[in-house]
Amino acid sequence: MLRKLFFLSAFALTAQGAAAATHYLPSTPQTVVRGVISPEVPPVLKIKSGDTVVIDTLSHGGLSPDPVEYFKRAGITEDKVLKDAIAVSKMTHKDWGVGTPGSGHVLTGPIYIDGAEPGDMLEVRIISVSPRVGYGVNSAGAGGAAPGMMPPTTPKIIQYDIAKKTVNFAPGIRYPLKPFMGIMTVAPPKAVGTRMPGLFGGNMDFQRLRDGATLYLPVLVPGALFSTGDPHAAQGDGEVSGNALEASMTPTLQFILHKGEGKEMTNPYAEDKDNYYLLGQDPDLDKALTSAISETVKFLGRKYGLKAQEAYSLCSVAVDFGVAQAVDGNLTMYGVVPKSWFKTKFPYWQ
Amino acid sequence: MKKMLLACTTLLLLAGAAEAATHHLPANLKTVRRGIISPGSKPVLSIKSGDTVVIDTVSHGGLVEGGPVKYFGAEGIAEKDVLPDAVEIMAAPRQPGFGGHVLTGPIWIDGAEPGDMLEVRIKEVKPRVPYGVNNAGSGGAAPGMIPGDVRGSYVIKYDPEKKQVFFSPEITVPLRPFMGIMVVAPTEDVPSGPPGQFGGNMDFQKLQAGSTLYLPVLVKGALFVTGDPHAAQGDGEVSGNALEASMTPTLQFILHKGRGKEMKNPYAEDKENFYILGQDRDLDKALTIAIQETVKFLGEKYGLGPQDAYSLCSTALDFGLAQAVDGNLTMYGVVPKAYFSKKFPYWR
Repeated sequence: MLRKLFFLSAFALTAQGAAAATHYLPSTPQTVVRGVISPEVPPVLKIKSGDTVVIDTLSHGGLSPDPVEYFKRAGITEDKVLKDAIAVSKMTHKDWGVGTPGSGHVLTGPIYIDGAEPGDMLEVRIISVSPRVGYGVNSAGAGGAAPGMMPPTTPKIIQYDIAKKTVNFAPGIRYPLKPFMGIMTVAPPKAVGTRMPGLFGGNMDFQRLRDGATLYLPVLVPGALFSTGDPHAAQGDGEVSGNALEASMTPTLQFILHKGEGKEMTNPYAEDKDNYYLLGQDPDLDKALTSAISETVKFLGRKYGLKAQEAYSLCSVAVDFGVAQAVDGNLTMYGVVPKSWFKTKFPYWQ
Repeated sequence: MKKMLLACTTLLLLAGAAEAATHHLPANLKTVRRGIISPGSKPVLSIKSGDTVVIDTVSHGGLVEGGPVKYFGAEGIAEKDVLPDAVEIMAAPRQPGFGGHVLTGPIWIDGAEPGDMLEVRIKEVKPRVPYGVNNAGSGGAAPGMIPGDVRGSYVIKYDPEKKQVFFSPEITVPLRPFMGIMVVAPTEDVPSGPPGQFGGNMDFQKLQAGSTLYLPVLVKGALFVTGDPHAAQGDGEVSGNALEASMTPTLQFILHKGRGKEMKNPYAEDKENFYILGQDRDLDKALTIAIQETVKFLGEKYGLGPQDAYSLCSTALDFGLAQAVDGNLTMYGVVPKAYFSKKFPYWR
């Protein structure tokens, strides 16, 4: 662990005063784990509250066993395949991480936040999410939220234009590029597979968490142990086939610690310039909705002083409830609370 | 019935060409039923495909024991601002086991037969009053969260011109007028609560002015009915009801012969998107059906194979929630027209 930390501090790019440095965390067999989120994985970077980290992440899409071979069929030459993807694809199962892998997700981290303790809240500002390649993978077949609709299929390799922010899905069909991280997470007290999201965040596949958004997570272990992965170039609400346009990204994230503010948190929540997003999670979609409503009512109480009945009424006559993902075992629904409705205004970093 | 049809034709407002007339259908004891959608209801207006109908509808919000004048009076609304037809409709019979929705119709569409599709163009949804009612209590999609109906239903005022709802002195939310229920008659009597293949209480807030609803015709004449008007509602209608407020929708009806044969669910569109609906008592299954319907639609409309369609659903289409409180729950897929180089004409 000491060796890894030393190695990484050499990557520090800039430092603006003692309390706000910018670090760079590459994705290498030394800095990634696969399929598990575990408090036992030693941190690969230590930062202070206020610091920013530029984090390379790798998509599992097309990664194993051989990404060069995999992407060849779409005319993607070896020089267009990420070197770190090739290196990570050669990791053996025993290098994957501590605990039982829940899927093939590649997570970069964990990052240790100085002074973070259970009961704190970690604010993660999503400064940017930059595509590392111009292509990704989607698999749509026998699984997902409409299982059995069709037989298993070969995943599609889909190319996109980073400058134009457009995905070239098929001749005659184009849609917007919307890069975000499918997984942003702190470590839970016990190791879990990466597939199911939870109180700790994780695989929420929430496509609103794009650049300019902020995610709030409760700290559950000392140092928080943040990691990120499952990068997506585009995804609709629901992620209904079971996966998105899976493509490697480099997110730039700023971390701010709020002492003692995570104690009452029963789910992560988020915001952007326009809205708050209150998340609810459950294996059953109906119950995930109930949970999202309950979180929204609680939020409207603590943020804007609404009584429960008044908040429930506002939810019904005005708040849109949506589905982040319906495919990750623990399903995520969300309420959208537009800031423009309220006379009371709060500052936001964007 | 003959007398009623006569009464309605005298309300004919203007007639364009022979095939495109505009009618007015008022809400009164002769033209409304409460809580039931029935193929046995006698039509109160007979129209041709292409005709437009301006339909008065009355919200059941405030139609409580003692009558709307007393209810709204207690909430600070003067008697002169209570709709006379709301007062009249209080006398309409209620069947035990059926709900309180006030439904105006049915409208008979000449030549409509099972297997056809009825296109309903929503030209306008005009508020008749600047106030509505919401109830948020122990029910809805988060049952038991509020201990009992602490306040009961209460009045919320809005400004139809500014399109703003004055939720509280501190909170202003957008007005989104739409009809909670637009429906053709099913083949058997059903309560108006749960929606179905016939449309009904889908409480789909995207069906505002400028949108179009497509329903399969299930009985002769289609027997279209509308009610449960809403001034505002979020996706989900989570407390179990919206901002319930009387509206006058202006709807144009266009019959498509033989096009409803394969329809298992209604669908909709507006200038920007197609909306493909799925319905089930279980929200997970409602989503599955919405996905299946969207995949089928993408095949029929844009020629996508099932894998491409499912892949597009996952990587680019948002699935949302119309309502989670009406017994049969409604989810929808949003298909943006801008994604496709192939374009179709739209009336707006």
